[in-house]
Amino acid sequence: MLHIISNPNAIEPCTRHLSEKDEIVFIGDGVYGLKGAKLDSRFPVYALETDLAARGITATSKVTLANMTQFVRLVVHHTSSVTWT
Amino acid sequence: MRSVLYLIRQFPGELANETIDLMLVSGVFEQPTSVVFTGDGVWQLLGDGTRIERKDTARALNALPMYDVESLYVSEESLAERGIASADIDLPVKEISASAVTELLHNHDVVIGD
Repeated sequence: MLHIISNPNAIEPCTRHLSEKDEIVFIGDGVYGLKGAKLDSRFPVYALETDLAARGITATSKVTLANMTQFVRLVVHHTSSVTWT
Repeated sequence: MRSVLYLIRQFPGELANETIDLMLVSGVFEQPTSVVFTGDGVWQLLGDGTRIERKDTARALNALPMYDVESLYVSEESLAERGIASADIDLPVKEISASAVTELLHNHDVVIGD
């Protein structure tokens, strides 16, 4: 399952419900939450590059930057997704 | 038909009422529909908004079983965190653990947030 985070306040509720093979992608204002977020290294984390750039946020090396094509690939790859707003 | 889970996390109010309309539509079209209340969404199960002349969220939720939306769940963890007792809730919701909520998220075809 793909977890899409678009609100930094949703990180904590999202992390409570992660399961094996889940992946997380930060979009929109959600990227503000990458600063100081405690993320489990078992789950791959992506962030939309343009959304980071637009907000002047730099992600740590644990976060994989993604463009729109890669984001679409992630959505298609997983059988379902949930958007945490 | 694809199963749908409504993930309710927001406080009661106008937005919540619109999400309930969406759930009712799922029910009318006989889509296998489940609803889970977690986080601040559990507040939707209480209260009487009509006292302040607002469309009442808890009362609107009462319509769900009539539209064949009968799989209603609430996170017992979220209730405990907010000091809400089972007795405070009138709706026939099943209290489930956090890991059961995780399972619901993963075993439905579509998850719709509010």
